[in-house]
Amino acid sequence: MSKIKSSAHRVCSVFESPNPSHSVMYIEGEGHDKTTLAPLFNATMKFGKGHQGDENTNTAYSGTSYANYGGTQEKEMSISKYGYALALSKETAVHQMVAGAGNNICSSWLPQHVQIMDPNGPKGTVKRFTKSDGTDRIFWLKSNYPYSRYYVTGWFNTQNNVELHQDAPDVSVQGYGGTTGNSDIDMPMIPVWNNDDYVVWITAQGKVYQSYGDRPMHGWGRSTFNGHESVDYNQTQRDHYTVQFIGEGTDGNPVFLQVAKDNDYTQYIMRYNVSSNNATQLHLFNAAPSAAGTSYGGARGAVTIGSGLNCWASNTFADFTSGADAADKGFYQPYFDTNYDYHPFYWQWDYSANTFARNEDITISGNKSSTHMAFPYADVGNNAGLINNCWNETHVSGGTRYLTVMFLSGDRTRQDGSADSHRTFVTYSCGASDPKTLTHHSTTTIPQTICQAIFLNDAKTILGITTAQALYVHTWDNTNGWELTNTLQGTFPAVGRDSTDRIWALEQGTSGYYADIHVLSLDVPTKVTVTPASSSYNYTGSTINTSVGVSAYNVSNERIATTVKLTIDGTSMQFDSDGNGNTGTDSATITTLTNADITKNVNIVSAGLSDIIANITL
Amino acid sequence: MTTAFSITKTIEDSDFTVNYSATLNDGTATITITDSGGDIVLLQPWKCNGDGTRADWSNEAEVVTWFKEQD
Repeated sequence: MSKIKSSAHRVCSVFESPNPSHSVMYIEGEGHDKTTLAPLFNATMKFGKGHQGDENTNTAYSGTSYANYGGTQEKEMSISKYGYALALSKETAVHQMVAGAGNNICSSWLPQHVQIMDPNGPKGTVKRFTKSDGTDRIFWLKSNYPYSRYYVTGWFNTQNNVELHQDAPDVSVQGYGGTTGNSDIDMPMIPVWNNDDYVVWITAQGKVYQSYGDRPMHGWGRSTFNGHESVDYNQTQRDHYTVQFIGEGTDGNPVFLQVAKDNDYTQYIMRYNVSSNNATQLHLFNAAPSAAGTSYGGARGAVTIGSGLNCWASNTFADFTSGADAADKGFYQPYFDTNYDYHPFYWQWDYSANTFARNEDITISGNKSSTHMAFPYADVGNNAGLINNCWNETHVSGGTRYLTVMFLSGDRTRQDGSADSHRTFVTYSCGASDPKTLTHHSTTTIPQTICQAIFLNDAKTILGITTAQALYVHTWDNTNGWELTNTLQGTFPAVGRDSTDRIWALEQGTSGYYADIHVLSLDVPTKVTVTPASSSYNYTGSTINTSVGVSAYNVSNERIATTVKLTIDGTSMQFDSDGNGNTGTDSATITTLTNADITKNVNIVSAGLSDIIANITL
Repeated sequence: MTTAFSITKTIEDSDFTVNYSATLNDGTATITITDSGGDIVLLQPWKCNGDGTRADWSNEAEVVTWFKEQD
């Protein structure tokens, strides 16, 4: 991870236009070439309606808004609210990074990047939707926090040859909720889908039954494609339910999954009839499963896994059940049986019929989850309804689908002092043609409370885990599972990828209020190794011809080819100038290899200690 | 025929009573919020049972009972 800018301004840290024809990215509001990141002249972003060049991303959440918390808490609030200042078009995860707030909205986990289950859906914090005639609409989730305000900024019909700094947003709205009933009440939270007439949103916090916090009470609604100042809310929110967008059904309408927070087994499948702004319930499951497979079934207690757990389903994928139609889809959703063992529901979406089946008869070979995992934290209250979360997600490697399940906390330190089991996640391999057959594969323990998890490549073989102390990068290994390949110290409220697959992260700035900006890509070295041919040399007066091996590694601990300048600090060693043993200079430039160390000859010319210093140019 | 009914829920120590109506025409149930200008909430051609299965509606009273049992 390379820090490319220390915090300097209280503006959006990184903004990428999701229009693929646009070539400018904005770093603290100033334009840079998207490919090279070279600065551009006279390319200042207009973040706000009305051409404000430096509109504050955190206006509503400045410390004064939370003065009642005082001191450190106030500071943390301010730090926490700049996550959405990482405005990228690919998957981006944000965390509030608040500790010990208890029953407060600042304890809630932010689910935006997992709420769209369609693997091809827009998962960034900036999203682009297009109509069949090519007209587009861009939305930036400017401040997407579970309080009574959700700020969304939009651009309509951006032109391919007009960069966004030349095109101020046309809409900048907020939803305002509350119990007074005098405002929007419900709020547009995340746009997830569109057709030529409407953009469909996951909404927050209720309209029929009003809430001041995210209990959760998610729903959905629509805005016309050409503007989202006004949202028609479909009034089917359920209290203590999350919503995920599963995908577009065969009839052309979006389908949603409503999941109860208060137990692991009540779920609704809902179709939103967009043109008429009403819904049809496709399925209801509200009975505790019977024992089947290796699952004990039933309604678990709240001893080793706490109450009030939001269970987030995986992305959809082609249903690999033997005999399934090619168009059919499947997904996993966390469920824990009465023995506190993870036996996920395997959902099947018969796509042509637009019907769903929830398979509860899961068979697990090897260790059950309770051998490794616990999360005994109870709900803290309705103001922090998203504090406790369980998420499972799959990836495919070497032809096998793997399923990883983990607990995620909205409170950044909640499990720091707890047993490792509170910070451990488990991976299973899935049966080749039977998704209901799982085999324990591996476990991974994180040193601190797991705050966020995000895949950092399309293949989902690089996994970023954020805690309050570090960003841990794990790379998948078919034998060992999620291997820790890099640790980036610091507090990172936001991590994501741009359209070129560069990985960006915002770190708590030294000012405590603004974000330092980090960037890396898989061709950027994060580690250089210089290994001498021998661990020690016995100099007896004659030059010793020897060598060092040099390699550079990326964030995923893979060797990469890059230019490395080596400098010898000391007089006892020099680089071989011509490869024939002739003593040369104290510096050399080499290009590393992708498959092995590259050898550089050196000569020991006297007794004493020398160091080799490696430098890379970004 | 239309059946009017109401549901009261307590959210954050406040009681919210919402007035609905239910109709059943040609086997499809319609649930409307009568408080807000008659917004149709649900258009339901079948009854969803708690085990994931579906059934035909028997009558309008069943629609009301079913909807009241929803979370």
